[in-house]
This record gives sequence, structure tokens and C-alpha cells, in this order.
Amino acid sequence: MSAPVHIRAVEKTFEGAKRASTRILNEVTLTAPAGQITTILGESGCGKTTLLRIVAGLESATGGSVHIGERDVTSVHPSRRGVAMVFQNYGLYPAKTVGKNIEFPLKMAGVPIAQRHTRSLAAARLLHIDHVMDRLPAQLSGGQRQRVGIARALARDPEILLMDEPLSNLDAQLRIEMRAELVAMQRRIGSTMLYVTHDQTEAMTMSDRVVVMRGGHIEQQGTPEEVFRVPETTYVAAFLGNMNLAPAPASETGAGAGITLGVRPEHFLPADRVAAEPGDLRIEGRVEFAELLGTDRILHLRAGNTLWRARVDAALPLHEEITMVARAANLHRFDTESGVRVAA
Amino acid sequence: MSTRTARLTPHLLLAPATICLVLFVAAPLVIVLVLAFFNLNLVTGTSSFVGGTNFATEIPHPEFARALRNTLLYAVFTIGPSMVGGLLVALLIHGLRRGQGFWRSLYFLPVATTLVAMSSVWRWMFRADTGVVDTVIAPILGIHDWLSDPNLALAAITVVGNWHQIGLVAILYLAALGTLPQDQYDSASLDGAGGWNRFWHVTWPALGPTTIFVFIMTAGSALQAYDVIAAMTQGGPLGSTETLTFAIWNRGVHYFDIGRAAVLSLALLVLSVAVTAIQRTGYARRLENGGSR
Repeated sequence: MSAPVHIRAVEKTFEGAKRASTRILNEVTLTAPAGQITTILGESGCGKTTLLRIVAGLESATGGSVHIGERDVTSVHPSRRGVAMVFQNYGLYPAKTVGKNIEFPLKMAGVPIAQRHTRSLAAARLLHIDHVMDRLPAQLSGGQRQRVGIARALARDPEILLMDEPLSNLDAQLRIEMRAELVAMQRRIGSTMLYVTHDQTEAMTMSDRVVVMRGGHIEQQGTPEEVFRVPETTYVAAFLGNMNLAPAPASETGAGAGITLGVRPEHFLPADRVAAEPGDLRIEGRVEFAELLGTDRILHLRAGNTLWRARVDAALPLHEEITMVARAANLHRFDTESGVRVAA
Repeated sequence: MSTRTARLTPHLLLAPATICLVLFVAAPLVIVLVLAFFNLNLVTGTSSFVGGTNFATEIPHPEFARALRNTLLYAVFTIGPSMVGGLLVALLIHGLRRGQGFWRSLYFLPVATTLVAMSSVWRWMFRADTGVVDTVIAPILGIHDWLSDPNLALAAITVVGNWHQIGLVAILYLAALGTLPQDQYDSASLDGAGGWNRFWHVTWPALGPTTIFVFIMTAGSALQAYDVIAAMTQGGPLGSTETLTFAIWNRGVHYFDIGRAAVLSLALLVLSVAVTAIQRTGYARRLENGGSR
């Protein structure tokens, strides 16, 4: 059971003191396809959590509409939208046992007690927490607490699962495990998932679709591959994969002034291994700093006024001066003023 | 030397607190207990051991049962209503979008005033026939002159007690309401909990420790109620507002009967211990842990 979520021209302004109002969301339109994971990615303060809370009904939109399937839910109470939400801080009831926490939405919905038990136990089994049903949230680890939060969300078979940075409070190793587990869980139950995060790795690894937000509007949306391969703006290029961005040297690119050149660090190749062809970018730089990541090394190369980051094999011998080449096909061009991609 | 110092240090550090405890808590308790078995003549300064005589005279005396009954009645009708009322006031003020500060100050005013001074204002309000209470309530309920009526005097005292207490309870609950976690309300809202369920499943458990604290506070001041009674009724009419505390004062200071006053004090002590016992058991215990787990 799943349905798509259509967010249409949603706006949100907060009335501040002295009639000053702050615009949090600006004409946000997006569709989360049924049965898929859509990630809303952005830095803190970009409005992604507010957007999710509007979909949940915890916050009201100043303008626009939210549809779940064919149903306009813009002014429907949160509990009648068929959505469930998982919170960054878990949002568990501290005075209730794990079992009672998971059962709570069913109890509120008036589900008979026997059925309540079976369904909450099934949800707990799915999240591997059926052995801690009688404990209180305070007696659990952070990872277990979030599993309880997710199990509670699953207990009532929601059409839509909303996740607000569910893994942010967990430590690194657990986060990686939970990432894979969450995707597997979503595939099994098949509900539509809207997932808010500031972590680009989570967005890339988990999503069917990524929506990059910035300052209250959508910067770009598409599959993770599309967004990564063809970033529409310099912001997306830098945010996802940390692309090098520098004013284009006119001689190298043939383009005029006002163009920003983008190269991913891993697209630099040592010049002594590949021959530069016409259209390629050739950088002769001095190594200012080198970060060893294990198998790779990030070189910070100073060439003129620009500092380039190049990701090279750690085995590559380090010289003070290094010449790198980036293939023409791997170069991205953006309008410097607007930051928007320019067709090559 | 060094091991001895090590052994002594904790005792030395504890000494100031220990001395204070012994001097101001343990010693008076022991003195009261001892006095209950003596007949003390304050004029001649002589005393004689009388065994259980003080208990034998005081306990069957109507004064004892009456004071006990009045104390319990006053406690029941101030602790419950002021806790419920204070919580309601706090919830209402907390729900306001503006003017919270004004209402908070308004409800706190009775706490900040001198109770004895306010009691004389209340006495004026309860004055027979011409007082505010009689002019408003008498035509409707047909009851008047509360302070002279043995059946109504304690009720009048209770009204003043509640008036004084509700503000304090409301302030304590308001402080607690300000710290409640928003995410639980968000999940409760999504889980389909309405107003009552949000209160019962989120707010009430989170307020648990405050509720226990408020109970101890209100119970303590209810058992020791003295100033309102002294200022408004002097324990009358016909002893109908004489509580244990007032009886202790009456016996000890008015009649110089220290032995019997000590017996009454012990009765109050037993009552206080009983209240403390309630607070350490069952549901109260769960409430107290409610916010922390």
C-alpha cells in the first residue's frame, strides 16, 4: 500500500517581531513517487525539515498544497493523513515501555488489544527489537531507540513514511549499518518514503530520487546519478562530491569571461600517464598540502590564484610540482554570475 | 598520621551539616518526645516525670479528636483542590499566546503577600451580612456569616488556604510545562492523540516529579496551617477551626501545658510521617520517576 506525494508550490513564511517576516519555503514543487525513497538534501536552515513537517501536518503551509495520492491533505489533521514520522530525537514516550510505545498509534486508532499486540510485535521483529519490548526507552541505546521510533511508525501501515534525519544522532558505524537496513526495510514494505538529511552520502546511497534544497527553494532534483553527473548549479556541484570550481582560464577552454569551470577531484589524471588532447584542462601546480585517505590522496595544487583539489592514487610519487590533466568530457561549465550550468 | 587524616577528613567535612541537623532537627524532636512524659511548670521552673499521664488526658479529650479531624479536613480540602486548580491555571496560562506574564504575576500575587495581612482582608470579606461573600452568596445559597457558623468556618479557612496556595502550585507547574519536550507532542499528534490523550500520555507523566514536589509542599503547609486561623477565627467558633498546630499553640502558650502540647506535636509528627510514606510508595513513586526515564 503506497501512494505518491505531490507537493505543489508550497510556501512558508514565519511572522517575526515588528512585522518582519522570514520566508522559509519558496514555491517548492516536487513529487515523491509511490513506493520509492525520495531524499530531501540540504544544509541546516534550508527549509527541508519545515517542508517535511508540512507534509506531516505538524506545520501549516502559507501557500500551496500537499496531495497524497489523489487526496488533497493540505488542511487534514496529521493523524488522518496516513503518514508516519520518525524523528531525529526519536520522540518516544519516556514513561511507556517499548511495546506500549509501538502500540500507541494503534491504541489511539481504537485497534482491539489482541490485534495491537500482533501488529506491534511484527513491527518490532522487523526492526530486531522484539527482545526489549518490556524495557523503557531510557534503558536502550541510541540505535535501539531509533529502531523503536521506526517500529512505531511502521505499526500502523502508513502509506507514507517521513524521516527527519533519523540517523543523525547515531555514531558513524551504526549509521552505515542502519542505512542499508532502512533501504532493505523500505523495499520489503514498499511504502513511499520521504527522507530528510544533510548528509550527502546518505542521500546518494539510499535514494531513488534526490531533491537538493537551498535557501527555501529546490536547487535540483533527479536520480542520485543524474544529480551527481550533471549538477545544474555550482551549489549542487560543490555540495555533492565537493567539485573544484574556478574561473575558467580563457586559453584553456576557449570560452569567454564569466564562466566557472568545474572539475571533480577524482577526474584529474597525472599528465605523465595520459597525453592531453585538445579541449582538456591542463594544470601545472605546486603541491601545497596532501591529505592521505588510505588508498587515495587528496592533493591541494596551487596554480596561479586557484587552489585545485585532485584525488590521486596514494602510490603516485609526490613531487613539489605536478601537472594534471582533466578530460574535456569531465569538465563542467557554469555561468559565474548565476551559478547555472552552461551547455558545453 | 596520614591514614588517620584520611579517616577524619570526611567526618570533618560533614560536621557542619551534622551539627545543624542535630541541633535543629534531632534535638527538638527528642525534646518534644521527652517533654510529653513530663509535667513542666513554667512559673516555678520545676518539672516532674508523670509517665503516660499527658497521653492519657490529652488523647481521650474531645480537643484531640477535633483538632485531628480539622487538620485532616483542612489538608484534604486544600491539597487536592489547590493542586488540581493550580495545574488547570498553569495549563490555561501555558496555552495563552500572549499575556502569559500578566496572568502569571496575577496568580502569584497571593503567594507574595503577607498571609496574616490578607487574612484580615478576607475576614472583612466574610463579615456577616455586609461582607462581599454574604452579599453575593447568601441570596443564592442561603448561607451567611461563615466565620460565626461552626459548620462553615473551616470551609472559609479552606477557601483562603486554596486562594493562597493555587498561585504557588501554578508557578511550579508553569515552570515544568516550559521544559516539556516538543518532539513527544509531535509524535503524539501524528499518532492520533487528541487533547486529553496528549495530556494524559505526554504532559502528565512528564509533570510527575513536579506533582510529587507540589504535593509535599502543599501537604507540608496544610498540616502546619496556623496563620490564617490565628488571624481569622482564633480556632473558633466552638473549636471548629482548631487544627493540631493551633491546638499546640493554644495548649502550650495559652495554657502553659507543655506536656499536653508535646503530645499534640507528636500526633502532628505521626501525620507528617504518614504523608511522607504515601509519597514513597506505589503510584507516587512512578510519578516521581516519570520525567527522568
